[in-house]
Parts: sequence; structure tokens; C-alpha cells
Amino acid sequence: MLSTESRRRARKTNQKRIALIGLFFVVVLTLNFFNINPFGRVTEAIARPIWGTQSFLQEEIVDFRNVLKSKKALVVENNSLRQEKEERRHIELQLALLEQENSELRHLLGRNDEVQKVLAKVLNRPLTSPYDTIIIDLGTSNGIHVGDQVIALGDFAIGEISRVSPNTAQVTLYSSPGERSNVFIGPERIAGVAEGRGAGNFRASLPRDAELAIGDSVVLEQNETQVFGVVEAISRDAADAFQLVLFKNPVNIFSIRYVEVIRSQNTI
Amino acid sequence: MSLRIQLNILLFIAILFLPWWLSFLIALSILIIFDGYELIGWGLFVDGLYGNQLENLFNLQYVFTLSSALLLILGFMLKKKIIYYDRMRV
Repeated sequence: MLSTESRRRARKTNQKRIALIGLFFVVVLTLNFFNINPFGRVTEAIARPIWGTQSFLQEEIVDFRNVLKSKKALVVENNSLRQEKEERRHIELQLALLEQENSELRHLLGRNDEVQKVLAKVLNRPLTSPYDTIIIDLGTSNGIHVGDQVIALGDFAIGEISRVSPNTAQVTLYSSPGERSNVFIGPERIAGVAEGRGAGNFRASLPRDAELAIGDSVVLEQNETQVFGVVEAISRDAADAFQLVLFKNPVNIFSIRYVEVIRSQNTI
Repeated sequence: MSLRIQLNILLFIAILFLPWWLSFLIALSILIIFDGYELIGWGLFVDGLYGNQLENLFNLQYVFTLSSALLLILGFMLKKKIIYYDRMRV
């Protein structure tokens, strides 16, 4: 059993500890208030080489696995890919024609659509990142700035640069909890506000009369050529003047390995 | 190598590569077994690396630092009341 004296001493020590941590609370809240993150550069300097090595090793393992595949399996895969390529070639030709026509029409209207895209490797993604963010291997040394848009798999808008250091940048996903983006939903381009729900999911509240169907596309108000999401579910209640639309970004953010950063967007 | 160092190395790996809730569980086990002062440092590390002001989290970008400090305080208070820790001090 502890004596009264030692109990008193222990209580005092505990009070000191709690007071010290309380002071620490105040310092951290002050840093948060002024949006200062003095530890960002140090932590990124520690983590970047480790993530880089992991990414390198992952690619090497995938290559090694391919070497071990049987010849028969490779022939089957090769044939199936050839067939798929042939099918896609026709679609690509049609797309190229439409793109050319679109660009000519925009040029006639005096719109300048030149964008500078830079390919970036994803170093870290959710669920490791608790804030639903992505970390990429480009930074200010590559001309990346806060607010630059990030797209994946061609033309799917996924987020914006929220923090940048010399060699890495943090991307806040549009689907991060609480993030709000102005969007157009469905073929009639009904305006709405998409609220992020994490992991590539969104919700939007629209008037009940708005005609929508599952599978309708959702685009960003600022750039209607980039797909933002696809409607997955619609919830209507007879007593409610609004309908709840749930949609999802087609990009799987848990397995994404590369993204593109749009350095400047010169649309009118 | 002591258990404390092993758990801290595991926590470092978890922060960089594993889902965040696993890191949280490892941090919690450090707090239960030891004093857990280092958790504040790990909280700063996580927030320095991933911290982002999110509206749903009251625009806090130091969620893990503050949570670890709060857990430490709770730990001090609870350990005082629990007989198991009282016996360990004797």
C-alpha cells in the first residue's frame, strides 16, 4: 500500500502533467487557428523516401510476378487484350473526331482550352491517410500550387491541391467529408451542391420534381467536360420536397497509383 | 529490444502504410501498457503528414495531436483509479 505522503506526491505530479498537457493544447489550437503546420516539411522529409522505396518495390514485385506467369496464360491474356484493343480503336476514332470538332467549335467561339497536365505518382492514399487525402510526389519544384485541380484516369476530377511542399503535395479529395462542390447532375444538367461523404462518395439534395435516373453522370460546374461522379441511388419521400441523390466517383481511390495535376486552367 | 521500442516501430510502420484505425489501436495499446508520452509526438507526426482542415472535423488539422493529449490526460486520471496500476507502482 502507498503511504499518504507518496499518494500526495503522486497527485501533485499528475496535476503538473495535466497542466503541461493543457498548455500544449493551447499551443496546438493557436497553430490550428492560424493554419500553421510547422511539422509538415519534417514529416514529409522522413516519409517521402520510405514511400518512394515502397512504390519501387511494389512495381518490381508486379514485374517479377509477370515473369513467373505460364506461357499458356500469357497467350490467352494476349488474345483477349488484342480483341479489346481492336474494339477500343473504333471508339477512340469516334472520340478523336468529336474532340477535334469540339476544339474547332471552341476555337471559333474564342475559348482557349490549353491546359498543362503533369503526371504524378501517388505516395499515399486513404485509408492510411485518416483525413481522406492523397499525397503525390510533385511539389513547388514542379510548378504545383495550392488550388491546382487533380484528375485521374484521363478525365475524372478527384480533388484539389490543398498543401504543397518542395517535393510533395497533399490533395484534398472532393469526396472528403464535408467538402462541398457545385455540380450539374443528369442529362438536364440540374444544378446542385455535392457534399463529400468520404472514400469517393457524395450526396446531394435536389428538388423532388427533378428527373434523374441511376447511372446519370455528374459533372463539375467549373468544368463540364470532366466526369465527377455517377448516380448510384436516389431516395424520394412523398412527404419531402427534396430527393436525396447518392453518387460515386468512378475512380477507385483506394487503388489509384497515378494522377494528373492541371497546372493552369485557361477557360473563359 | 524492449516491448516499448518494438511497439513504437510498429506504430511508425502503421502510420505510413496501414489503415489509420490500426495505428490508433497500436497507440492505445502503448497508452495502456506504458505512460505513453511519445503518443503526443506521434500525433504531431500524423497531423504534420496528413493534417487537413475538414469542415466535419471542426476545421481542426491537429485532430490526432489533440486526441493523443486528451487520451494521455484520461490515462493519468483512470490509471490512478484502477487497482491494477496501483499495484504496479508498489
